[in-house]
Amino acid sequence: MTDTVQSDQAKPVRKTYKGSQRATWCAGCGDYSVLAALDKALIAYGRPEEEITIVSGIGCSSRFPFFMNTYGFHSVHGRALAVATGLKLARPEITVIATGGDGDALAIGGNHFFHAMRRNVDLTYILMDNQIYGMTKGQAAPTSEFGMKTKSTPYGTFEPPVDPIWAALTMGATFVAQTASHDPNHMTDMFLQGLQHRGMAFINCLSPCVTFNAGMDKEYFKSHSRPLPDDYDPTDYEGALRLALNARHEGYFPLGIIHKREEPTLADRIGQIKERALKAAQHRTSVEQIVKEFI
Amino acid sequence: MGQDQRSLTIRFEGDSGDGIISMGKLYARTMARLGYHVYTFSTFLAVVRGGQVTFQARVSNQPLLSQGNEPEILVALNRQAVKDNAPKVPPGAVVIHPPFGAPCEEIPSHARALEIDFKEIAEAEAGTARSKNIAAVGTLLGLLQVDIEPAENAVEEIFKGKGEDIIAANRNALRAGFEEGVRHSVLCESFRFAPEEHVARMLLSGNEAVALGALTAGVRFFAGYPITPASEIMEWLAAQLPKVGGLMIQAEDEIASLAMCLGASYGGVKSMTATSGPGLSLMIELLGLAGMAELPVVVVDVQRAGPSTGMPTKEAQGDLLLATYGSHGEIPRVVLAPQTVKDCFSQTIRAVNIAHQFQIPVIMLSSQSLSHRMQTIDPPSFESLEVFEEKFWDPTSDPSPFRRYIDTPDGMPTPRSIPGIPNGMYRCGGLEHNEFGNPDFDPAVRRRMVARRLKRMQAIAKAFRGKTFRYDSAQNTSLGLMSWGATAPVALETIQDLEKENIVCRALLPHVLWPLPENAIRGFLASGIKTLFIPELNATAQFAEMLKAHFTKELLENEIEVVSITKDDGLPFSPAEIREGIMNHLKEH
Repeated sequence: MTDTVQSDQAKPVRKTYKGSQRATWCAGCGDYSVLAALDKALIAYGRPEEEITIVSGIGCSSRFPFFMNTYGFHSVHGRALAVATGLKLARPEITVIATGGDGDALAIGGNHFFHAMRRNVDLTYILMDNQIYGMTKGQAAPTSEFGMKTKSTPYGTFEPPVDPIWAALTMGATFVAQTASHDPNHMTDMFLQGLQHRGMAFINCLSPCVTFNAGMDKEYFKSHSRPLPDDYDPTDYEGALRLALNARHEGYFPLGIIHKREEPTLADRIGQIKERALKAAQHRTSVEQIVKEFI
Repeated sequence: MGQDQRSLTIRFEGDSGDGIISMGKLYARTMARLGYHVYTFSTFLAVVRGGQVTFQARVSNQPLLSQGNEPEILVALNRQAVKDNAPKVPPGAVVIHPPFGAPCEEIPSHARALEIDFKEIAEAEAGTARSKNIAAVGTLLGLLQVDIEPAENAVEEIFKGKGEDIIAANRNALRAGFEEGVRHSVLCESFRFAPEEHVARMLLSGNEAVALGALTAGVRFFAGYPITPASEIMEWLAAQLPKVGGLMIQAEDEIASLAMCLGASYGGVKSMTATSGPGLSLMIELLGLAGMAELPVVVVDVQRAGPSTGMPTKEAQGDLLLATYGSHGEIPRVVLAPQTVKDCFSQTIRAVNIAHQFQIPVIMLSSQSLSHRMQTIDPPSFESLEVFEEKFWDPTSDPSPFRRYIDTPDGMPTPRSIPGIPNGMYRCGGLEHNEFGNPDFDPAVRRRMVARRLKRMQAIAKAFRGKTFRYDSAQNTSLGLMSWGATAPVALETIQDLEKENIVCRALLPHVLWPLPENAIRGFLASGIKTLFIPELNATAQFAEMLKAHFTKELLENEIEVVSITKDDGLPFSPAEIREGIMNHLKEH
């Protein structure tokens, strides 16, 4: 493993983490707000751009890394979390952010979603949820409302949708939040808290697709979302599950940190394994010594 | 070579509950410590329990190229083992078996039967019938009249941690079996020979050698998913990597395995995964990503008999075309195939080196027989091993924005930047891109990038020139043979045997299968051969077809007839089978 990057100097204040490539989303796309909010959150977070990597899959929102002046990995459809996990394990000192859409995360990437959550990899995962496949021009997504008519479901969907919040909570994420592109300040706050969280920080962003899911625009998400109650305790896991269930039954999107707890990260646990292995090996650490076991 | 080559082939067979594999390994370890060269082969059914298990061990005073043919000594622990194997044993063979109540009529008159009640020995000496396999190994060692001490030590190591009583019981079973063997040792007089030198060698399986090679080459990140027959690579590295500062993670599937490796590789850490055919099929999209993004990574495919789930525990060489051409679009890549356990070690190091030197994915095609076979190899001399260390981009070298994909005249890649290096930020991915790594579909950019990827292959081909193993006899001949992977050494032994009958054949046995070693192949095809035998373990002659497609002109000009010797029955070639293929052709012409 590569040595830890030490930044001894005072935190540099950067004006922006955006890159020279201009975002190519449709005018009015919610992802612009996500880009602006993440930029602001990173400025507040204050790490140099070379110590940040943004990993994505495929889809409109997965183009994200190209619009930032950090390291970036635009991988293949559905695999962002697996790539991000590998990078984070190999280079634990790097801040790794994964971005993508609902299809990328919950359909083709569903398997990796499950395991990244339960492993508690120290990542910030920003899911831009528009309930539609935008890049392929308007097919049903795993988060599409039941009965929604799309190009691939001309008579309406006949599958109930996935609830990303419920999924992340039950699969073991240690930070679960929901935010919406109509509230940029809230979004920035959620991203910053996600970045500061040690462990898997999953943030679902209601980010409308104005071109292929025009019915679910900013106004729709605004009128269908609610802030968390003032006395809400995000550290109460069962309370979080009840909230998620209620929100689903009542048909609204709760906005805020739904759950947060401290737990050893995957890297912490691997660190313990290394200690155990070295102890078992009585601190034999060279390949030359390992070879002797075969004679 | 000092002495004339002598070898002895022993087959252990019995029910899956009989401890056949432990038996074979104990015998193999003992013989390796006594200074013999050892070559083993095992096969079993893909069920947890039940069914016949076979372990064959051939020992020699010289390095071995194959597992040998039918056994000179058969240790049959059940009736079925006698029925299946005894009829084929060569003249003078000894068939050792427990009492079955009636004589075994399958044992031919040219062989000798030796009935020994291992169960009784085990019960008398160890107090449990479970030690009967240890008693059987003792008997075998007694028949061969070798020094028992290395076996006693090995027994101690096997049962270490299970208590002194268990160790003592098994040692007793071993000794009692040994004494019984000594009493009958006259039967095996003709099989005895001394090792050339009493040097203890490493005895390891192909999978262990791959894992050790990876560790030696500096691989510090491994992600894998369990699959027969590749899992041991992952399991061994899970234990060893943390000791040297690396880690193994068991991924949720093979797609995630390679995706994780690519993430780690982007981070600048040497990464590898290992799988079998079904896993390689799943990885193909990500292999394309590795080629497009120019990320170094090694994918080991321990081939098994396909298609689909096929026969997971059985041997085949059916993934060559998938490894070579598998991907939508066209990517630079290298395909290597180890031929021996020693190769599993050295070619893995080579694979890792190539991946990083050329910033490409490298696929290594091992196979089931190679993976589980144990073979003796000389311990590596670490001083002479070449391990390539990638130099990353120096941020002080150039103040302008980092350009990841700059063209070079020789097609070689420029240094990568990795997260943490200031001013080296760039985006990689699967989209067609310009030299900065940003998406770019401009026809001129596209042409340049396609050419860039092709040119990388030329650079690789150039670097590999003159490194292909060729076997030439002193005599001229019109017969030639090419083969690859685990079949190659068996083919070499076959033609060396045929030479004793004045049938002379040249051989070219490349480890690099892609890019095809053009110069070596052209030279070989122009060496006067008119018949080219190509033995391989698949039904459609994949390697032969590759050769025909790429060397049509040379084959026509030199008037060479390609004779494929193929089989796909789940078992490796024996020298006798390749010989039969060659002789059948020679008889017809």
